Parts: sequence; structure tokens; C-alpha cells
Amino acid sequence: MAAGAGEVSATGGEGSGVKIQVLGMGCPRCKVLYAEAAKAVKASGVDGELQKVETIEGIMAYRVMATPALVVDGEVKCVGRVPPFKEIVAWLASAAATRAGTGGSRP
Amino acid sequence: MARLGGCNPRRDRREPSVSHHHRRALYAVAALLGAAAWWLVYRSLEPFGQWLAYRILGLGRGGRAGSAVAFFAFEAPKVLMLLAVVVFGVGVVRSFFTPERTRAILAGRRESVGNVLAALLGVVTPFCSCSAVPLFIGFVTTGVPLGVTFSFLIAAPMINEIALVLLFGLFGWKVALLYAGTGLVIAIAAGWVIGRLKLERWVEPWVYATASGPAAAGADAPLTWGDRAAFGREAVKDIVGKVWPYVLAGIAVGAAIHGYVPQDFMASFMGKGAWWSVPLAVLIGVPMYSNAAGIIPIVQALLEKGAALGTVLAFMMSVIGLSLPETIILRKVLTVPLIATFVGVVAAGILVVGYVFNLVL
Repeated sequence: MAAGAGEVSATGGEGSGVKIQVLGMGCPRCKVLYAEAAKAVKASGVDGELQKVETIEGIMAYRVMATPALVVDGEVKCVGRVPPFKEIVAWLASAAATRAGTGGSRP
Repeated sequence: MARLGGCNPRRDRREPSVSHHHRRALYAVAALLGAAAWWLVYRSLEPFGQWLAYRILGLGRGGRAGSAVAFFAFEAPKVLMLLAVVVFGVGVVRSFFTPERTRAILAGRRESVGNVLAALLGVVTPFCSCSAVPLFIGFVTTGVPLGVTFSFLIAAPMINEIALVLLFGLFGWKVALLYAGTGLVIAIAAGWVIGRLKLERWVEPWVYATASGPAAAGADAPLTWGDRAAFGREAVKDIVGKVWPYVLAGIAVGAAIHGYVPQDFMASFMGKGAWWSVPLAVLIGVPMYSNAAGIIPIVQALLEKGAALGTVLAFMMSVIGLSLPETIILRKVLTVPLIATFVGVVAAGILVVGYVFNLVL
């Protein structure tokens, strides 16, 4: 999909993990979301790559108007609030499943 | 498989079921019972405070300690209960408004109508000053006029639900209404003035070059009432969980003043007679920064000691409406002259409000 900074492609290579980005310029809730996302990556067992996006250009590339925001594989999942932990885990799992699905179609 | 967007925790689990209607009825009954219980407890707080102070602790009626304890035992639970209900209600109301929807309403508006709408929407749209920059860019690059954007940015922090509840709880609905009404007027007028001044050239040039457009997230997904209630509950957990110590401390200070400090202590230097007290209050208030819960005890102290209402309102608004951290954040998108104009216009508005109230009341 074309949304996003152009640095992330949803189809991704087989080797790389699910790309999780926390958008926010360092507000307290952005830090909370980052910590929750880190916990979720661990708990879900998904091969994930967690990243902070703290520049205004990087944040605006996703066209969000509130922070913190959570982006999984280039898709904005959540804007302006810290979602429940279980929800983050579910997003990671579904992103991983999507990847496995595209990968599995090959021999 | 279905892709899920947005933040809604329950949307994907909503399946039609036979028990659905029963559950809804059950929720309604529970909500009604809860409201009734809330009202009963709320109504019995004042007798409880007096009973605790005079019967249980055996303090003298009309004595200093007695009236301080009775004040605290009545006000503390009252304000916390009010706070919980209002924060819940505001959380539910805000679930109807997203920055995206607000922007869609404001984009391309004429200035006068736009300023009024923006100030009103600033009150109900979820906003945190740490999001001021992405919001500012998202607004001005999609056709929301600069002055209208400012009306929103001024109203959002200035009219604060916690301050509104505390003012209502401690001073009554007239003061609370005055605060909300004057806050709106300042936001509308200041945004209109900034729009008339045509200051777009003082916005950092890269802002208008930023690519913008509708957000990628499915932020407009339909929510159920259960989801909205969850929003409210989360707001209560988040906000009340954070501010209750300030509230209690504030009421304790209020109780001490109520019992011990002589009336009209402040009247000589913050009363109506001292013309310089309003600009002084604004000058002190602008660089100060505090959350609404922290400022109310000071407001209470000043008012109880005989300071004039206009002066106190001006002080309070300049503390919570104009904050140093927010202007530093906004410096990323605004040049210094525009920030100075913004602070100057809002401060002037607050000044006028202070004088008008001191004159009228």
C-alpha cells in the first residue's frame, strides 16, 4: 500500500520482521505507548522491529493529527491514545499472519 | 483476513446474538441504578461532613477547626464525585469528535463563523498540547484558515473540564459559566484578530509545503455505546487517577483558608480598587504553568481572601490558557513574531475580560 513515508513497504522481505513504529515527539504518553509496544512485541513472540519516529516530518508523513500514534507495517493503527495492551498484541499477530500468508504462497 | 484500523477495542468482536438485547437492557438498568446511588451519596455529603466534624470529632460548631474539617469532609468527596462524572461525560462526548472530523467541519470556512465553530470544537475535540504541532500542520495545510486554527488552539487548553468542575463545585454555576463563556469569547476574538492581520507569511515556510491529506487510519469507524462508555471510563482512570492528589491538596488549602484566614485579607491589593492588579495578574500568570487542578487552590485562596473575581479569572486564564511549554512546541511551526502576536492578542483579551468583570460585578 502507498500510505506512509515510503520507507516501509507492507509486502516486505521474508527475512525482516514486522515493522512497528511509535509516532510522537517525546510526550509522556508517547513513552508509555513505546513501552507498551515493546512489551507487546515480547509477549506476542512476533518477530518485530520497533522504532521511534520523533521528527515532525516523519510523523506528518503518516498524516496523523494527534500523538502518540502506532503504525504497524506502514498502516496507522491508532491515533492520539494508548491502546490496550491486548489490542497491540492482536495487531502484531495479524500483521505477522498477513506476512506469513504472502510468504506461504511461494513454494 | 479482515484488517482492523483505529483504536476501537471492541469493534471486531461485535457479533449479533440472542442475548444482545437482554444485555443492553441490563446495562441500562445498571446505569440507572448507578446514577441513583451516585445522587443519593452526593446529596448526603453535606450532612456527613457536619456529622463527622461536630458529632464524631466533637469539634465546636462555628469554631475554626470545626468549620475547616466540615468543609473538607464535604468538599473533597463532592468535588471528586463531580469530577468523575464530568470527566466520564466529557470522555463520551469526545468519542464523537476526532481531529479529522473537526478539520472536515472547519476546512474552507469563512472566518467569522469559522472562529466560533473552531472555539466550540476546541472544547470538545480530544486535544493534548503535545499534539499541537501535527494538529496545526494538519489544519492549515488542508484549508482551515490560520485565524480559525488559532481559535481552536486557544480554546482547547483554555476551557478545561477539570477547571470547570472545580469552579462549579467550589464557587457555583455562575463562576463556572463565566469562565467557560469568557474563554470562548477570547478564543473567538483572538483568532479573528489573528486572521485579520494576515500573518500566514509568519508561519514557518516549510509548513505549507508539507504534504497533507486525509489520515490513513480508519478513525471514523462506527462506535457502539459500549465503546463510548469505555472511552469515558478510560478518561476517568487516566485523568482522575492523575489529578486527585492536587484536588485533595487544593481543597485542604481551601479548608484551612475557610477556617483560619480572616476575610478581606487580599482585598487591599487584589481588590477592585487596585487598577494595576489585572495586568499584574496576567504578567505573573503568562510565564507560569500549571495544570487546571493545581491552579484552583490558588484561585480559591485568592477569592476567599477578598481578591476581585475579574482579577482572579485573568490570573487563572493566563496560567492555563497560555503556557510556556506550548509556545515552545509551537515555535517549531511559527516564527517568533507570530508567537509574540499570538501571546499578545490572547493576553490582551484576558486583560479586557479581567477589567470588564471587575467593573460589572
